[in-house]
Amino acid sequence: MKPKFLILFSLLILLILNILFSISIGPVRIPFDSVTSTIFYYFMGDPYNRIYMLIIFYIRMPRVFLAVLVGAVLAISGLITQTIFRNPLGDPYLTGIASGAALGASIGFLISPFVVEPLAFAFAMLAVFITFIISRVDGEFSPEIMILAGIAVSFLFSALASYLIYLKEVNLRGVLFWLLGGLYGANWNDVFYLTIASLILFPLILYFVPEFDLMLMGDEQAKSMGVDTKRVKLITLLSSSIVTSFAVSMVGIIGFIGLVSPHIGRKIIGESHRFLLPASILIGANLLLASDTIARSNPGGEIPVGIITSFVGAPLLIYLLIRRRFFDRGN
Amino acid sequence: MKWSNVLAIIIVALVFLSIGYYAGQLNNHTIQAPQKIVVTDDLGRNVTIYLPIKRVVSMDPSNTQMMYAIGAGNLLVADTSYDWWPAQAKSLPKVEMDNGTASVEEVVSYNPNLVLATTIQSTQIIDQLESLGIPVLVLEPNNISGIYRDMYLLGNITGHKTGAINEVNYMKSYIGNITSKIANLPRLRVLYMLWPDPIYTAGNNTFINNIITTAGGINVAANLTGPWPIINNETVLQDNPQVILVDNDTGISNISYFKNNPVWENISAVQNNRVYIFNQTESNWMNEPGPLTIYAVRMVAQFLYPQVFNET
Repeated sequence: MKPKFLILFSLLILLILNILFSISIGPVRIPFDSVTSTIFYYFMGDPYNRIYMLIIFYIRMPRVFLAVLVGAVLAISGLITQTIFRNPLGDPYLTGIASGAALGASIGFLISPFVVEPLAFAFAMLAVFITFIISRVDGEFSPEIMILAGIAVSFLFSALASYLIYLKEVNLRGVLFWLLGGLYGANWNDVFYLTIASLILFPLILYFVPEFDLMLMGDEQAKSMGVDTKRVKLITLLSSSIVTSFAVSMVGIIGFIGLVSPHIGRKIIGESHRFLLPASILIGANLLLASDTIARSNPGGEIPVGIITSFVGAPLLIYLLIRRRFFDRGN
Repeated sequence: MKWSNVLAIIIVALVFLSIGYYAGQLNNHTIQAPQKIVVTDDLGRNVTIYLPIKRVVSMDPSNTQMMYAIGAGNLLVADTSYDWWPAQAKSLPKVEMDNGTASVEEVVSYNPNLVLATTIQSTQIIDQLESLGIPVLVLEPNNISGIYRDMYLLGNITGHKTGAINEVNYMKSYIGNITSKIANLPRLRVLYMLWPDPIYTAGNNTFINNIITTAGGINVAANLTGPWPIINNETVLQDNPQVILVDNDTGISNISYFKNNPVWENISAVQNNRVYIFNQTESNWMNEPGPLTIYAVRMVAQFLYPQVFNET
């Protein structure tokens, strides 16, 4: 097997082990053989420990799979942003999704906790559409303008959200907890809907993988090589924005995964998107799952996952950056 | 010796004597000036207070309530728009609060010689007021005996010692009456829910934990770290609380929130319909350490042991 396939295969094995490990640990200690026997007896219809069954099937499993999916969504979305904007600081929230979702959530908490998710999704998409409309110059989407437009829209939506939080009687606790982000409320419905959304939108992105490598050379170059840059940008950015907004409306704003996963991917597998895209997805899924498992297993109570993601991801990236430098000198 | 010299000596002596007398007067005067005492507040800060206390601004309902309860309510010149008890507290001039934080200018405009605050006020505001020579007492008891201590403190500095002693004795006997009724009953596991998703609850060293414990409950979150920890839902399943107390701020309006959920519906409290959702007043009792805390204790004890308190 080629080394790059080997790397992808190892990442996949790592993810499977990570999933098994994450299902077997948590704040409630369930011995590993009890985990396997509970699952086995549950499917065989034999008597099992009911509390263990509930914890494994209704609390841990949905949460573990949601972490995998959200990690994958953020990573793919981050990679697309970095590629299309040719900007190493690209992250999934560049087009205003985070601020849009925050505004939607704030309005939601003014009305009822039950409309928070749909409104967060709707306003995240609204922010994305405004950014897209502003960035359309001569029938083309300019990356430079889109970055600035995204920043402007982000600040505008954040200001509106802050205004609501500060001056209206918004349920402050609700908004703050929501903004922190986390996978605590995961259930099978979330996993189901996010899987459906990913199954619809990921193929639209994967279809353009060959074009991504050419896009890295700049719009003019890519065009001269026959890439319909406008179509690639519109379809891939829009699909990734929709699925990211969807994920954000479920779990809040989880930072860093989308930024760091593609960079880690580049360091271990190179720039070619044929390998980089699946690698980024697997890295994002592994990273968020590991972080969330640490966050929820803390015996003194849960820690917001964003704190752990940075603690896990930042040293990993720093290590890869330094190792590359020593490696280059050695040659 | 010439008479003139004698006269000069007498004059000089008189001048010195009068200076001395005047200086003595001056000295007497400073003794009669505002008396300074140093007290320690709930943050462990040493606060210098000038007696007598004449004008007090309260920046938190719990502080307002303690002042009225010991009979020192007439010293209050302003409180906040969150104040709701007693009725007089509602009609006092208001210090406008933006998200719980008061404007220094506005506080100063009431010319207080004491400001009462809780940790909700930012330290900058407290520092700013103190630099203007206005002492700020931060009173935020994290258990019931802390309320007694703060009431005694307020009683001492406002000259309402007897009022404070009477109020504390009343509270003690009120709570003692409740605890004696439930003394021999089995203690019940209680989950207090400040927010549902994630489940924020009250940890060990909190006022709410003390209320639950006093009313006969065992707070299932007492072993978590931090005052307001997140409790994981699998831990809740394992702890299997027999009673769930839900804060009004959660937005949860009835038990159906718990009933149709595969995790919650397996918890004892939900199965036995022992989920209690506070109304606004009940949430206030629970969250404002002061004279009304006795009602919070009674309320929780009633939820836990309805068989004992069926007369009300």
